[in-house]
Amino acid sequence: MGLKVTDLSKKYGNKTVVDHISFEMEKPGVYALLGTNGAGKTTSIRMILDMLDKDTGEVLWNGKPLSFDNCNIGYLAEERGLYQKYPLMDQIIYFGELRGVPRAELEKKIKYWSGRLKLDEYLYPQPVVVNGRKIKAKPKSPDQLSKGNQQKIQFLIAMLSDPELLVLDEPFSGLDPVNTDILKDVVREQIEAGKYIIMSSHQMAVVEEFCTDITILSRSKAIVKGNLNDIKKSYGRVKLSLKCESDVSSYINALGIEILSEKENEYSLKVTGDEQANALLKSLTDAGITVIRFELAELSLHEIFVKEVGADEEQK
Amino acid sequence: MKSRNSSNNIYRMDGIGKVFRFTLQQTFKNKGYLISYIMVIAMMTLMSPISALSAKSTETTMAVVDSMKQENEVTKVYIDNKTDIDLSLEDLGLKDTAFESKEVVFESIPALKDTEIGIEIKLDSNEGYKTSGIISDESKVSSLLLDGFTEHIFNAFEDKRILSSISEEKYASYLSGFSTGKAITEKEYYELQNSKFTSSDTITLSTVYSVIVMILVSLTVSYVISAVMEEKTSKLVENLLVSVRPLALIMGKIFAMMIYVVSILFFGSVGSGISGAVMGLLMVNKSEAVAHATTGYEFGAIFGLSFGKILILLLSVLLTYLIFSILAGLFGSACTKTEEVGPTVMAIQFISIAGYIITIFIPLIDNKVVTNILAVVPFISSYVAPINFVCEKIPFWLYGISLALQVLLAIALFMITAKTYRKLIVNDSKKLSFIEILKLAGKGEQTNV
Repeated sequence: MGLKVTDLSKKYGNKTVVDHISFEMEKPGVYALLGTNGAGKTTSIRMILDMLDKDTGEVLWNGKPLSFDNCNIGYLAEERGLYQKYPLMDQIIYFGELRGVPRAELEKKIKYWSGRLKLDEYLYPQPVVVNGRKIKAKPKSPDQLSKGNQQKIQFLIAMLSDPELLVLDEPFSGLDPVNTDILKDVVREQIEAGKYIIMSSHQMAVVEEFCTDITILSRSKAIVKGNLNDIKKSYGRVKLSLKCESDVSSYINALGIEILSEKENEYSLKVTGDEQANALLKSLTDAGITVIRFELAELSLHEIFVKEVGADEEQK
Repeated sequence: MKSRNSSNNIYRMDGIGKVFRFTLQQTFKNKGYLISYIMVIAMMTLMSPISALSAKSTETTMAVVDSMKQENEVTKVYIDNKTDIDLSLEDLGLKDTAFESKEVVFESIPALKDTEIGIEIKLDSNEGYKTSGIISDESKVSSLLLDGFTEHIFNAFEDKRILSSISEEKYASYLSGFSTGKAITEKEYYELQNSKFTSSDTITLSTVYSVIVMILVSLTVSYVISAVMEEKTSKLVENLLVSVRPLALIMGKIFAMMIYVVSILFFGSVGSGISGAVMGLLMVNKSEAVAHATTGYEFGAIFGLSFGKILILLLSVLLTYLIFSILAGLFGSACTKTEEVGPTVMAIQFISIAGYIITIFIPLIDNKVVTNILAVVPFISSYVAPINFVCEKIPFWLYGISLALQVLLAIALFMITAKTYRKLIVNDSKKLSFIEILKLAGKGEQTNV
């Protein structure tokens, strides 16, 4: 069951912006939609959430067409927006009520998420003391907040209905490291709570931290798709980090291994796979060379992304 | 695989009440809206006293003076009639005026005290008959009061002078003017004979009806478009669309702005009524002078309408109001930039103003063919048909057709909005024309829900 996106396409005139994209989330977790600017991530999300007409395709949630009638959806849009002049609390209550959260529960949830996201000073401004008298603080409006804090308010709104499907379009862009960590913690909690999360991001390291499955889009097409571990495995363990007590360049060159960088007996190498790496280790130990570090690793998501998108761009 | 078209669900409006309440609440919390709200109500409330105070006619001046209680300053009025035309106290027509209780004597003007007025009537060889108002150098009587009273005496003298040489009937006949009649059929002649409404009644009713509709439409169009654009520019539409259906979103906004404007007119009318009543209480002369000073129109025709006709007009106002408000919402959502709001507002207001002008001019043209055609022209018919039916200028069957077309127009606009609003509100590339909106609606709404 879960979420099933099948054959999603969209054209604007003659230009294809999403070209037959399909993916499935059978169990809770994070699915990442990755791609360069204009690759079709946001258009795909808009079609999944039924904001844009699909030229082809369907989106099913537990076997039925996805809508907010049959799925509790939380959405953080790429285009951050709030009514700039309206009081924050009024807007939050409005969105909460639209999602059908009862008023009493809504107030508790706002209080909880306000504390969790460190927004109390904006949502519950403390009275100001003037000449020894306490004066009730005026409610804050979005135009008095930084962009990062406005983004957190929107994230709070997305969380109000305790969504089962959370769609986060570039959730960490524009956040400082402290707020990024706050948001990461919340996302981790949501994963543990068994939520389905679709995330679009440019920050590969962050996505890699959370996601189980990915689709990389390039020029409207899915060029890489599947489970992240399987994808990484398919590229093999080709990154070798080596540190020895003496210069081992001759051993490396003898096996035809490419040296990516070298600094004081510390090497970053590109091997063809496990066999070549093991052969190098054997030759070093046979020669009695002390190996301080030998680390064979898969390509990072960032490297896979650059490699695949770069190759696709070259074909253009 | 084409996504299914579930036309039933696009008309669902779950959540419209919440959108309506929030929009109305925030409109009243917005300082700009609140100030304009108070100002318009204040202007409507003060319109009656201001127009009364600035009125020019003699009667009005006297009424205004009455309200200021200045008549108490006048103790005696001397009228020195140096002509050979007799003028009596009865001829002056002081009943129901501020001077009704004053001492008025016909004798030469002596040295006047500060609370006395002298009025000299004489025949000047160059200027003809002439009245002059005189007060003492230290007089407490205002020049406004003196001028008003002098003019009143002059008018009374003129009536007496003319009536001294001709009969009252002839005098009335001379004053009635002359106009050429147009050729009409026998049927039209008898319709005219049986009509309860004079051309003056029709003009008054047409003007009042079209002004009310035009004010409602003009104010609401700009408010609705601004509200829609505010949502678009705030970029939170996407967040809203995962919580509420597009039709509920737009209709909630439209109804909120309609109520906002109607409440302005309601409270403004209440204020105007109260201020008019207060002015009436302050004025001793409560005759037609006050009515003219406050309105400039004879409203007798309105009060003579039957309950059924008043109901027809009220429902027509609401229907017209709804048609133009939905049109504003639709056009507003087709805008992509704030700069496009002004021309869009003007385009819709132009249609509304055209309806208003045509409605006012129809009674003057008095052409049955033109009236009948305009009664079925979309948008214009909303202005023309109801009032011309009420004034018995178009038959019931034609009004029925017109009403049916108006209802169909409202339904069509509603359906177009339901089919296109979701696409229009997320469109930020270019403003769509009405034709493009229609094409978009023709493609139908594809939705999961």
